[in-house]
Amino acid sequence: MPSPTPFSARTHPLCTSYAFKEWAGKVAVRAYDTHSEREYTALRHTAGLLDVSPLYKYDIHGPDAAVFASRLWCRDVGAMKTGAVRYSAMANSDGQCLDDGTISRLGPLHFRFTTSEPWMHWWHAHSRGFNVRIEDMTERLCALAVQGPLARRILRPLVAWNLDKMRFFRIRQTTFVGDIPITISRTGYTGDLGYELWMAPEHAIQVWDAIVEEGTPLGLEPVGLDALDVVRIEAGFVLQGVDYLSARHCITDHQRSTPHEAGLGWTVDLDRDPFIGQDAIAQEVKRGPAWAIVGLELDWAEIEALYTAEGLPPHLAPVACRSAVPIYDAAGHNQVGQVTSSVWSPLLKRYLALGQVFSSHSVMGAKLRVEHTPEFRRRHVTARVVETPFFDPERKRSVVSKSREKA
Amino acid sequence: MTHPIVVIGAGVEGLVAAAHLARSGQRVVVVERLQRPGGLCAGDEFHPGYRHVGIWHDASNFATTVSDALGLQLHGLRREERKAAFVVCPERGLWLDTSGVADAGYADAWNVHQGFLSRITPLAAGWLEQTPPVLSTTAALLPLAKRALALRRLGRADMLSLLRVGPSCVDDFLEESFADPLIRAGLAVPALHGSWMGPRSPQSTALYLQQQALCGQAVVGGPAALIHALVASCASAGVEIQCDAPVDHIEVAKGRARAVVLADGTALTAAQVISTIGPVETLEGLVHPSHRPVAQADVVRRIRTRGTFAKVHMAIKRSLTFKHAEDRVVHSAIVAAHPLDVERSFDDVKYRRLPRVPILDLRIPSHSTEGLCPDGHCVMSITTTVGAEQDAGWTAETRQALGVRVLETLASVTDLGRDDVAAIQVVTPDDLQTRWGHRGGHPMHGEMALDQIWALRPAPALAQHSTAIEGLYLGSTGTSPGLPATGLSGMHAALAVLGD
Repeated sequence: MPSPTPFSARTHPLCTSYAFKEWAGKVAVRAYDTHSEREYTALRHTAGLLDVSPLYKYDIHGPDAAVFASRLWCRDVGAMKTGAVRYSAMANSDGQCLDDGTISRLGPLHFRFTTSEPWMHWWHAHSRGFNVRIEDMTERLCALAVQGPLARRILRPLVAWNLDKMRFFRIRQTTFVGDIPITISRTGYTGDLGYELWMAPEHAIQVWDAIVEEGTPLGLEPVGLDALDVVRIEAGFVLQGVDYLSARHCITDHQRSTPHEAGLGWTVDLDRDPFIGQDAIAQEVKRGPAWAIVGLELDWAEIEALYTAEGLPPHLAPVACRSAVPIYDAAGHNQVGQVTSSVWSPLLKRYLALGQVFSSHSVMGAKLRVEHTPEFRRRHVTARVVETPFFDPERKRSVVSKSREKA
Repeated sequence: MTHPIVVIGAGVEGLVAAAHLARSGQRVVVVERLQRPGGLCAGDEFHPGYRHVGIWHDASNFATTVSDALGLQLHGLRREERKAAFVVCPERGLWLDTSGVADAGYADAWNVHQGFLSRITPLAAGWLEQTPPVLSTTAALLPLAKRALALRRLGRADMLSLLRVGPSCVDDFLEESFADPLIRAGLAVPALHGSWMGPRSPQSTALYLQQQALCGQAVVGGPAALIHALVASCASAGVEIQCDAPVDHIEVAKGRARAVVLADGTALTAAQVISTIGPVETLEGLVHPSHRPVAQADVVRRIRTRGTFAKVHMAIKRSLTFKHAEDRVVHSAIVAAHPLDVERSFDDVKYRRLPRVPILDLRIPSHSTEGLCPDGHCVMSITTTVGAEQDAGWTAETRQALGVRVLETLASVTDLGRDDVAAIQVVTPDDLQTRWGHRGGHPMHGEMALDQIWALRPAPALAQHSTAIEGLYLGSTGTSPGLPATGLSGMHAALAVLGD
């Protein structure tokens, strides 16, 4: 049975819709209202406050922490400096993707991993000979994401560290009002300006309340996972379990993906000391990955026409769609992949999708056909392979310049 | 100038590898942690005026193909017929040879048994004396098919017998021929040294057959003389042997072994590295974990190296007489009354305590080699079974207790008195680990079970002596064939280097 998080005392009473779901053994809010539109709007126009405590968190300490981290992740994360954060895929020794997550360097001998799945056994199995101590911090740390264009304005007075100078994908151990020790990272899963705050469970309510008090006048809203699912597709982020499956859960080879096939090839640093999956990935790179994850834009006019033909107004599910839908070649004859996530972007006014297709069909601008089933009839609409992220505001990475600081 | 090939360890396998490479025109440097070459086969003065001929006191496994290839006869290697072993317990004794077993009434059974061995062992020797084939679904099938064909050529009866008894326990196998427990104990004990097995353990027949397959003539002067010949062969081929040079680590860059770094900081840049210390000790002890190939890290973790081998050397101030053997000189004796006693001593290994009645496999090298001790005295070289792990730990007391129990056992079958003994040296599995660097105290660097022999030794991915680290090769007895002092592991590692 899922258990509450340290923020549940605040989030549950607000969840008037009773739309909860299980996330990594915890109760998580899908949407506070019956529809996530208000939360989505907050994320894109003001700021959203999201409980991300269920993420799995592991601390690695010791003289070999850096080389150990580098061995586990596809990216050479041991080479990064203290205060840096990287996003990376993690593979098994057959080069198949197990998970993706962030790796933070909190000190010369201290790393923190966040993952979507529990991996203690994996870290442990590969730690032989390394002088490291591995700690599962999942229950010992809880986390809040403050995401959106006003996130910095809301947090600036609350956090002791100068957020104006904090660059994208950096992390800092500092204090929150009332001398609460927190770790803050400029990271998130929304593709916008945003921060994540990590703290001990006993400080959870104090931090939540302070952020709500500071943010509410500016339009901050607590947000749930439904709204997050929309913005993460706009940001072009793949989700383990949806856009690709962790090899640990797969039964057939067909279900498994390599980092390149999962759209995470850009996180792979091949030419270095051995890391798990290196040989297999090197061979795959040599022969070329079989699959690719692409961003797709579906032709809205064609969708509208399909519904018109049925005598219906165009109908869209109110949340992001996670059921796989076949993708066909331009002629509509052969299946060449599947859409894994799709959503109507209220901000961009475009119908967006992420899908896995044969590499030969992944070239930018390629025309494909995606199944659409108004009134249970199988139809196709045109989709084009487009660049991701679909939404990529400059504020996501920028730092505040002196002249704009007062604004 | 090209960089030399660096061989780690100057035991039998290291010296064989070095000599063969040097004779093939390579520049070779051998580094050895101890003050003298030889490893477990080195002779040593264990008490003033008394020398043993090696911790491992038998060199009859040494392959003639290797001694021929290295021309060791030119460097003084002599071989002779093995002396028959005398199996003895307080109540009776038996010579383990044709006439001895005939006297006990087993002439026919002995002939049948030896006949089976003489048909099986050439096949097993043929398998073991070559580098094992690759076992994988993508490997070439021809080498495997050839071996399978050789197995089939044994004929239906022998092939089925081999497949039936191979995985069985050696006592069951021997009992098919011999009801006499003394014969069974005498045959089984030498095959079990160092293994995590008793005569009632499954698979122990495979060990027995391997030992029978590779055991040839004895080396005159024992293992110490073999080392002497190998060092001479190395010297004449221009091998540089650095003793007192323990290795700190192997430097690996971009997946390739670049240098061997000694404890004093000296880095020996190497064209290739052959490690003749154990596979686990090499890949876990000398290679930093961040350089270890991922695919082999897990494989190495699973290699079992729990030692059960101890050695006791006794300096005795007079010559000894064995009970029940008054008319013949004993060179080699096994002190065990029954295979079940041998099994009980293995129980003591499992329960982490000293053997209540130690099983002894002893040699009296001073009976065949002069100069090991003062005239009229003798040197007793005794192998026994003791677990590496002791609940009481390896303290001065446990060592002494082991020595005393061995002495008492010996006294029960000889005219030895406590006052006759000038000194006792006890070498425990713990010493094998700390002094000789054998991980877990295993004399062969890895258990000789069916899952760790031949093409699976020490693991399928490492059985061809190369590792996933380019330029790093394994040549210890931890690789095939795995029996002590065959010279084959070192030779095959050298051939692997020359072949790449």
